[in-house]
Amino acid sequence: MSAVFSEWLVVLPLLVLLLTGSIAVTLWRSPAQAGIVILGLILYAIASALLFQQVLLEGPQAMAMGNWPAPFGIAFGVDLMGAGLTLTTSIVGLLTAFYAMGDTDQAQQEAGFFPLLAFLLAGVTGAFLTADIFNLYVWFEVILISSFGLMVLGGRREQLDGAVKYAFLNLLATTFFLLATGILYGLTGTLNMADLAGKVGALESDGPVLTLALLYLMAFGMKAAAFPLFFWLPASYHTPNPVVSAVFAGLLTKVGVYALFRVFTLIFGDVDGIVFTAIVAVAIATMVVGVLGALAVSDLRRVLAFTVVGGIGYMLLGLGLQSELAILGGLFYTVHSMVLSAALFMGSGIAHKLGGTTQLSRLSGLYGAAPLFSAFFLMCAFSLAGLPPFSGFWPKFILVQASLEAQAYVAAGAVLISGLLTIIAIGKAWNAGFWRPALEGAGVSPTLTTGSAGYRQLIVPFAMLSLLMLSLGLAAGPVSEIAAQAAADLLDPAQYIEVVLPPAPVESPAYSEVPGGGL
Amino acid sequence: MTELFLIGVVGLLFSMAAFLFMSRSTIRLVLGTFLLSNATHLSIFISGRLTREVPPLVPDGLKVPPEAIANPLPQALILTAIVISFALTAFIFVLVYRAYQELGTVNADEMRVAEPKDEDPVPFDVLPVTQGKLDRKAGARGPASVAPGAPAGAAPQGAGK
Repeated sequence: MSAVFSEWLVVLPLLVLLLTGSIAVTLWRSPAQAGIVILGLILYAIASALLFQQVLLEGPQAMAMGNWPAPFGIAFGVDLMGAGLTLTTSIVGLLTAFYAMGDTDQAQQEAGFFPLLAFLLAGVTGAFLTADIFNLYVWFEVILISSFGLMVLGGRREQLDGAVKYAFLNLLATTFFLLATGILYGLTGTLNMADLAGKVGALESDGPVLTLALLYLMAFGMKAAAFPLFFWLPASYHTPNPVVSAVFAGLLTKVGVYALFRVFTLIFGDVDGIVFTAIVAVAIATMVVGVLGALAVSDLRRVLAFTVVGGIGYMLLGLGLQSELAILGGLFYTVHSMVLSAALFMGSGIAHKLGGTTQLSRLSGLYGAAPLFSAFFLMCAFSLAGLPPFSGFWPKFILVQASLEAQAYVAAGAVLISGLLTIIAIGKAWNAGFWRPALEGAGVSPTLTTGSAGYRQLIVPFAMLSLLMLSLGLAAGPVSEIAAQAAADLLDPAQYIEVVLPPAPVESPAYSEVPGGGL
Repeated sequence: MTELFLIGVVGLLFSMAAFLFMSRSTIRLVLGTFLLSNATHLSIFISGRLTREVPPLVPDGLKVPPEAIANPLPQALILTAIVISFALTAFIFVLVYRAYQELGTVNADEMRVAEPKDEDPVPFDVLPVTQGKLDRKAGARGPASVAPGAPAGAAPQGAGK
């Protein structure tokens, strides 16, 4: 491949999505938006696959926007973690767009559901592809504003209630991120991540650097729904349409996790060990509190929201242990959680339509009404609980092994205990909603029956996502090898730094006072 | 000296924003968002170092500025951040108003539609087992008939949502 094409390939997924969203917005109020966006998402998936193949074969790729050389311009840099997460995002996004054809009504589609989805995916992709920390903040805000739109589309009371809590707390999180970036610029004088890696690494790990690291942990931890700043997630994720919940649960928290992985391996990789101990402590608390919350609530979608929170704990544990095996486990869990969370929320949407409600006290008899759907849901439930051969087993197993190797026995115990409690929580939901014979007089009114066209529109994407989850589990060997390569690249980012920031000296203009002399 | 004064102002703005953010009224939350974003933008401004230099323009014919100039990068960062926070604040304003219209209150403690205070609890023994065998008929009548702690008539109560 020529050098120019491989440079363009770095941003091709992003450009496809931005173009798709823009064209769809010009067709406001027209039903053609759905077709345009789905076509664009197919092209986006192809571009992501090409990019992933390129990065897998030839290592990290980079491109400088506008040909302004790094570190003066905005650089985009993709390593295996970014490319793998972009590929997963494209598949999950495409399948949720198909699901949305059956889950959103005409009014919502005309009001711009599909362009908002395209811009949301553009924000997620941009966050995975950028190598400039302020550009990362901009993509976070693109995600945020698109998610605001998707959250309130429909205008129901509980949506507005959830949106108020979601909006304020996420706004607070991104403002903390901006504050931390401003202070980091004041400390080092640069915004390019590869340049920051060198400059922050050269600083001593005292006051300002430690404060910054913990401020970033708080900002990204809040976006990723880590303990104790996760309460916006169970307050809001179950309120919009199930397809919106599926996209949010699959993608948005994982962008926060990605940012944590990037910042704490590349930029703050050499900081004092107390920060990583803090990350492990936060991870253990998130795992345990998340699954305890799942045990406490009795609405199917709120149970799933709490299990999403618990899943974040596993990813953070992989980051905090800082060994290659642990980061491998964390990355594997991230990919698995993207697919599984989206699938589970899609399943909860179908359960709502078939059963008339998601309140577990009144939902019943789904196995009798729809055995095939129940089988797929059971597969997803087993994967959530971490049972082989589904994709949930392998990353948990790897994380336990990594915890024992790092002598973090509390962490290993927390992984096992929260796995057990997850089995109980999801088993209770399965027993109540699916296995229990249909209750008489429950006062529910199903809006869908199996065999209708609307049911087929919903069940096919859900089944495909479940089968993808199953194949992730069955193909755990190759996936682990790719994750191992990505983890090695994260722990030793020399190749990424060299590609993003070529070591050519550039004469810098004469600023009177340049930040970078330390505080 | 100027830096110290501005740092003090930023700290004051952050503390006011924190106070407003811990309030129950969503209108005060919006005002807190205002102050928080203003404080953050000022802090980026300070981190670019305060100088009394000329604006960052290169005169005709030269490739680099002939003398020391002000740092243009923090200005660009702050402009981007102002535009973003403007859009978000506009949305939050309308959201608070719509929430007031739909929910009838601006008191965040009373907004309990998404997370209701009293939910119908689901007992752990959802499937009743009598004498070691699964009692399917008892399950069909509902958990109220076998689990003593469950609310009686779970259906009519829950239907009033």
